[in-house]
Amino acid sequence: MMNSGNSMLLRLFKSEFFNAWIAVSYLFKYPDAVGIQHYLCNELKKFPLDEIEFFLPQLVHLLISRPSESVALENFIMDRCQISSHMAILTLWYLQAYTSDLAATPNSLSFKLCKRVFNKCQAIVFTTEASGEYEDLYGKNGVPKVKENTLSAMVGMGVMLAAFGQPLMTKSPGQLALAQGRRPRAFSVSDTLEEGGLASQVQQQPQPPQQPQSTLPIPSPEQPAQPSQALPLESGRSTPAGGIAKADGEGTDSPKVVAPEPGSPQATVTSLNMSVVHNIQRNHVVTSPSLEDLRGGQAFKLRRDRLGSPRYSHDTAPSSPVSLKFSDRDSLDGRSSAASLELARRSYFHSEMQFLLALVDIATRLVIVPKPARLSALRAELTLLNHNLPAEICVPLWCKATVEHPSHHRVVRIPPQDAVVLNSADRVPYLLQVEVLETDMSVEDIRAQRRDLHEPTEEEEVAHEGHVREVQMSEDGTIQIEESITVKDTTSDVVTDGTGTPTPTGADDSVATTSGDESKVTVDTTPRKVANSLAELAISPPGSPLPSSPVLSVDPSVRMRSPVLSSSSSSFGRPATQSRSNEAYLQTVLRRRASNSADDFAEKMRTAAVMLAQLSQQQASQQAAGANGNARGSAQSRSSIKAKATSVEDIRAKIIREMMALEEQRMQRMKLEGVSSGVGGGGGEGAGSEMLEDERKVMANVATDDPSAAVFAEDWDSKMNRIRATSPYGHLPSWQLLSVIVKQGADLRQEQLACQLIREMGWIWERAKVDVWITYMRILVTSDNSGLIETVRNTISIHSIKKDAYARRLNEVGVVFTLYDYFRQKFGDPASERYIKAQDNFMRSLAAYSVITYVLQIRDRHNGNILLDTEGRIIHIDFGFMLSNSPGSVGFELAPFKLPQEYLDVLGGVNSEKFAEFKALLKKAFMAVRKHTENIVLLIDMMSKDSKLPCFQYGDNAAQAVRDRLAPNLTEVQAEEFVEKLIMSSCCNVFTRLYDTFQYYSNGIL
Amino acid sequence: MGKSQSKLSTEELKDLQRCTRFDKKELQQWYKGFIKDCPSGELDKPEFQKIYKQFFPFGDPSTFADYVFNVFDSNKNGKIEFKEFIVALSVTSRGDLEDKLQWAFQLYDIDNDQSITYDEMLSIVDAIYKMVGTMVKLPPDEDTPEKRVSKIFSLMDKDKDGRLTFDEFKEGSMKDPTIVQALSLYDGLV
Repeated sequence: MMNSGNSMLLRLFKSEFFNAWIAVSYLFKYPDAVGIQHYLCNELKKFPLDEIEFFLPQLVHLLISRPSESVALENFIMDRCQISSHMAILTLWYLQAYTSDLAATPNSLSFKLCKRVFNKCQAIVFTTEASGEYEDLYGKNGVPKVKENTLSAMVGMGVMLAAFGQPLMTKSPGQLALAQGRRPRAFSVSDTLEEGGLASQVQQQPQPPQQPQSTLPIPSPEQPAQPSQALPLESGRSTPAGGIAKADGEGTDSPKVVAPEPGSPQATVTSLNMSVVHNIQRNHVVTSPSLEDLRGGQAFKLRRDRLGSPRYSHDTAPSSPVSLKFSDRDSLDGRSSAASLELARRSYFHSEMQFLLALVDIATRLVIVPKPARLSALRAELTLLNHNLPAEICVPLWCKATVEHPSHHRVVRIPPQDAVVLNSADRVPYLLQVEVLETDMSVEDIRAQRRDLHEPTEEEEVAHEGHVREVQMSEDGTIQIEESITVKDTTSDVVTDGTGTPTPTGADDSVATTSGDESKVTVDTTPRKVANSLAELAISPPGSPLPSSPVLSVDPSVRMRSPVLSSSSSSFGRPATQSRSNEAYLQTVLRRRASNSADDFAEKMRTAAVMLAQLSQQQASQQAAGANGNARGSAQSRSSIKAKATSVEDIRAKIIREMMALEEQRMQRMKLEGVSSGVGGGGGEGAGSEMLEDERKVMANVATDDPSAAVFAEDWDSKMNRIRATSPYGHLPSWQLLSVIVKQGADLRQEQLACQLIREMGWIWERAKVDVWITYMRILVTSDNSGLIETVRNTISIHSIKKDAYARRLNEVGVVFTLYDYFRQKFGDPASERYIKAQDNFMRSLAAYSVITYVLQIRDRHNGNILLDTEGRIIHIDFGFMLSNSPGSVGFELAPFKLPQEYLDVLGGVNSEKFAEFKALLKKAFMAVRKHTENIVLLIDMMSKDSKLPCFQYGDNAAQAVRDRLAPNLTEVQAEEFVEKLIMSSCCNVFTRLYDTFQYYSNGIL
Repeated sequence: MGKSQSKLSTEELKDLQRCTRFDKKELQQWYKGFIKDCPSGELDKPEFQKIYKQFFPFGDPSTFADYVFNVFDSNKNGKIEFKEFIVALSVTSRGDLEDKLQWAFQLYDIDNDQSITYDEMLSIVDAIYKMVGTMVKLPPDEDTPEKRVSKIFSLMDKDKDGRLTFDEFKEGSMKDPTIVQALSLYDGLV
């Protein structure tokens, strides 16, 4: 069909110009040309993985949105996943997001393909060969067999015939025929009845459709016994983790597949689809850890019960979940190294995903928590999470490990007091810092290094006592309450002390000044296991009716005051503690007691949050069940739904009241006992009094209604140093800090696309030596509605700058505070060196972002979405509106880009040299991008087909529109004139002003 | 046969079990695959060429595809039916080396006179080279069809009569491990 042109194509592919970009673009151009696809994918294997990773969103989209005859791309992606654990996890999450996207059309080729590849990817992530149908699938030497693909078989046989004529020419076509021959058969023809067993499998395995989208960490009896978290999507069969097997299994094996009845009512179909989604979500890969797990401190540890390979079961599988601990290591080492390596690898993946899901789930639960208690709840949650660190997990995208240097970093701690809730309209993203250690650890080394991390030297033990304790406890896997006796002895005194004399301690000042609304810092990070509260707090298992009695019935004040007394069972304290001087000892105890109660508080808060979440789910599911008229699973019978609904409301209100009360108590206690009681330091008792002061600083920052602004404003280096100083791991040379925002309820794929495009433009400018400045954020997509975003260091939004200025009355009353004022205030006189440097930075970033916002039509450019860094550079964030969509009701952001008077003022006015320089640079930047239009367009074009992203929902061809905006038909001279016009029409554009005014009146954004 | 039906009948199954090394289930499976790929139940030359073009995008496989087609089309009716396909697959995946060589010999023996002339060999090798194009780097003494055919005859035409008999063909193939390997492509995988 394209024979004549193809020799030219081959010449291009073999030329020196050939690169990953060309390969990807031709993959996109010839999706159905089997030979070309295989050729290009083979070539792509020669490029470094990070280049492939850059294109990964496009490649996955291409794979899913264009089911093709060729298996090349699928094989290629899976092959790369085999090599790179990061790639595997990223791919798995993308596929999961697509599964949700496509769940409405379970009979589409794309859905089936997605499901199949997802299962394959899971199999790669969690097992390599754990397949019940292993022997069926593979030949004797482990090579996968071919399927009933007659066409590729005819080519393969032809290749064999050619062997005599020229055997050297048969090798690669033969392999191609084999690869295509292994293509799962059922997929190629729209044969829904035979292999579209999804709906029927749902029937076979009725699952309560009420399951939440994100799995709640509820300790459920069957969860730990689950043979594997890596259940394939089609869970109808009991084959554990049989991803490949299942995906390939054909209809004929099970001829009695029940097809949905043609005449069945619409409602049933939708509900089935719903349950498909939930099915997926529920079985998805990994659940986030349960409270039980978190308390045990083992949530992210290697656990045998999670390693569900039947191959190992005969010799190792314990009947109950047992954590691997030191004593187990021998048996582990006793196995073949390959097997234990495999175990380590799977555990690694599992823990890593579980960790990230746990972060996302916190955001989910925070939504239900009343606003004033959110910060406390967040820190409570993180405190619990901290018990499970350090763990052998990394954060993909941030982790620098590569195939060549597989040294993953290791998450060691999340300082809870530095996490901040970022209240938005209806979601609760939050910002947190993650401490990691760069290591030379590869998965292979994990086992060897476990001991190293967990057994510090003598000196370390003294210096970082708290840390040591935590680590020891997390190692032995059993819950032990250490030094409770010592605590107990002294607690009673102190309690009477504290309650009897409500004299404000020194820290009270800061409490008073900062006590606005949004809670202070609450919880402590001192590692500890308190084995009490679960029983009292009685979390109901999923599906069972909630206890109608008030849940937090125990008088909180009593419990808060004497938490230790209730955690009776104990062992003896550490002798090191006792050897201290009396006074120091008292201090220690004071803090410990406080942190103990803070811990207790953390658990209560979290439990309450979990219950709230459960409640609202139950409510939702009851409504769903009611609408269905088809109650399923363990849900209550329909008759009682109404009655329940009201009582549920009551319970809800009650829980919220309890949480508020809890919060009150905590505040009260902080006033009485000082900040440290509520704050708890970085987990080390050795950190001492400086820590207290640091906390005060943080608290002052967290102050009022916008805690995030102040936290962002803190200089990155000082923040890092502060956290480092208080961290028990801070002294390690490989210590590093990551700063991320966790989001739930938002599809980050569009943000990711925007950042990718910005990055691409950055490269274009770099190559063309256009001296502009941009930055981009790493974005980790964990599902279609959650993920992690990197924060931009040392920045503050222009909105916050202005707000702060007004709050501090920097200007005379009635005078508008502009960016120009800020520049002068921050960088000094416009003639000064500092100002000139900042002005130059501003100019270079503004030129770049002007081109970017114009080309990509990035909208919603109010000052809340524009940041300024401490060097004067401007940075755009939030790409919810770009390409074809814009903020619905108001279509009046008509300027090509934002260039208000205050920007001009910073540059020195329209007649200044700096402005002339700005214009020249912007032109240069525009011309450079124009020259490489196709680089940008390809990325957009590849993502646009059947896309669910909002930026593709309006306007037929977003990619073509981008091309058009770069004025391809103009001559060089005309194009420059065109840019000149863009600049002039942006200057002080009336619509820009109007939009800012609109934002001010509607959202209070300055 | 030749008509599209969803399953093989009992008689057809019996017949096919006699002339292949597949069992009933395998035959039904492959039949299903065949009907999915060729809903009419048969494949003609242009369709066959099209398949080859998919797999060899950078060369011109049409001539070679026609030669291969003739090998498959044992009853010479211009169509490949399921039986012809599955018999060939049986030989190539489960036959022994001699079976495979017997089958391959047919390709090169274009006029079916039990020997391969220089010109016959050149036609086939030329078609192979055209199909694969410049994708594979070849040693200098084989980098054109003519050189390759000369080499074949100098190595294998023992009696120097300008023709390869089956015995010469067989002996020459067995001596060349790359040929033997290529002929075992489907061993154990079908």
